[in-house]
Amino acid sequence: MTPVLQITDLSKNYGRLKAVDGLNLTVEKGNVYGLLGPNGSGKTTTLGIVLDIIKTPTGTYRWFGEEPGHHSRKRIGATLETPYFYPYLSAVNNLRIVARIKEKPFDKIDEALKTVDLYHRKNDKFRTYSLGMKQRLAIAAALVGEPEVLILDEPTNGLDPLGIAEIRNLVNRIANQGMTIILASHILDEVQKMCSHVAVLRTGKILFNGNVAEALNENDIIELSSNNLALLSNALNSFEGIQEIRKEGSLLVIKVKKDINPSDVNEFLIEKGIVLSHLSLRKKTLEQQFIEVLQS
Amino acid sequence: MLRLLNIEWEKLRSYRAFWVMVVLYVFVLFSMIFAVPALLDYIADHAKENLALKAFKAIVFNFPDIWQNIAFVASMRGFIKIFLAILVMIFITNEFSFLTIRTNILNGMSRGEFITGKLLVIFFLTLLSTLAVFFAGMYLGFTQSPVRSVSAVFSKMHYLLAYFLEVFTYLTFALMIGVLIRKTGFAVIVLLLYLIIEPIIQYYVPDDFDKYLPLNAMNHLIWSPNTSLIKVKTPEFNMDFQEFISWADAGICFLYVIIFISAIYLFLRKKDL
Repeated sequence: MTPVLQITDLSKNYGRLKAVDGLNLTVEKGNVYGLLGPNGSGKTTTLGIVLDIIKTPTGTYRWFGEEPGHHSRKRIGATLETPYFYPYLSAVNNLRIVARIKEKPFDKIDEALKTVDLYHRKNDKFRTYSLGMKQRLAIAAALVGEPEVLILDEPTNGLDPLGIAEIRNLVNRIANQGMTIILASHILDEVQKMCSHVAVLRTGKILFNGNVAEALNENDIIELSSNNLALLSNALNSFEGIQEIRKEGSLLVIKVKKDINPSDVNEFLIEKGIVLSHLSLRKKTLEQQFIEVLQS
Repeated sequence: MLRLLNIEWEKLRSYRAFWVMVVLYVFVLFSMIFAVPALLDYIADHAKENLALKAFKAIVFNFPDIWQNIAFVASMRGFIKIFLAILVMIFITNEFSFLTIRTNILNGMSRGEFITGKLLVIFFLTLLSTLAVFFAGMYLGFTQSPVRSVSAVFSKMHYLLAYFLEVFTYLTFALMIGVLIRKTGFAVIVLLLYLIIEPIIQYYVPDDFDKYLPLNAMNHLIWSPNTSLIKVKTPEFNMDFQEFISWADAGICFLYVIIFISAIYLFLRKKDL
């Protein structure tokens, strides 16, 4: 199936500064993809390039397999940094402009405003809105075009805890309807709670790319190997502290319950008469990666 | 086209400041045109030697010369047109200061569509201005002119087309300054400064080149009023009056419109928003 977004070798330089540096990313339909990285790591620049706001990058990107062009943007609902609307126009009138640009009927406007809980303020001018309301209106604007993919850039930035919770619930609700979402954030917790996949960025490069559930599992992951993997696998099946067994090349990767450590596993296997050639603990990859990112 | 017009209409429809300025412009334009006969009467009443003035008033509003005369008054350099130019600069620089151009683009407009939308607004503002001049001319002509034959009424109406071209070129110029400078106040200052700077440039360039300077080129389309007085040429009264609109002048204006639009497009094409 054609990916929703395919980015190949994307780079953007500002003079000597490499804002995006050889970035590759594939977002499949139904993914809730988090772009995680500290401020200045290239998240917004990357989104800006694929939305045609930032010009003259090198490398390519394809939306829905199409050559870059404004028609594919009509199928995308996007927010980028702070929401920008006409301050002298009401929420409804701002959304009418969006619908006109996207060539969509006006009848989704009320629904979108209800979804983000702004319906009761729909005739108020944009300039009277609080930051939280502006962020929510930006999401409503993204929804008006009935998009196939939603791009949210730091949607909870600058919000109070209640506002953050509201946005997260909203995104989870939309994601549960099967919408493809790309979410840029510098907050690990946010990505952990909302995303299915994550790419960790630092200085324009992707450090880690993969499944969130795996990367962020609270339980430990243990790698094992022996001369006979089948035998090892059979033996492990009878070990009670295991949640999941998976084969990765010449390794068996097991997810263990809390309080189980590698020595417990080893002890169990020795009793079964199996000798290991490899035993190691893989711990919370994403968090480690992210902390490294933040510390450097 | 209709989609782009609809988008611009949504932006301006309930923008009160915009409509206040449009109404103000039409009001000032009308008062200027309608003030001319009253002013002539007033001066004539207070002057000792008023025969020439009375004669002038008796012919200046005559069909068909009235079209040239009021188009000349309405398009005078750096005068009433500035209202419209400032209006254009406000609505284009707004898009940059509110960063709504970015919202437009990421929602699915191309940069070319964005520019086309703005040119459509300029087209309709110019049309509005031309219609205002047309109705003022009709009213003044039918109240003041002794000649009212169909051929007389319509024969010099191409001066309205020239007026349209002049205003459209001027507003495209304002649009370009707005796009290049992007700050409302600064853009207005640059336009006003240019009104002063161009005559200075004109002083230093060869005379043959004068009419190629942008503001001169626009003004040269309708460069003088016309009355039947021009037929009277005596050693004391020997002035040139415009008798026709030159295709070359119109061509220069067209060329400037293309230059201004290209400059806007080339600037926005590679611009990060």
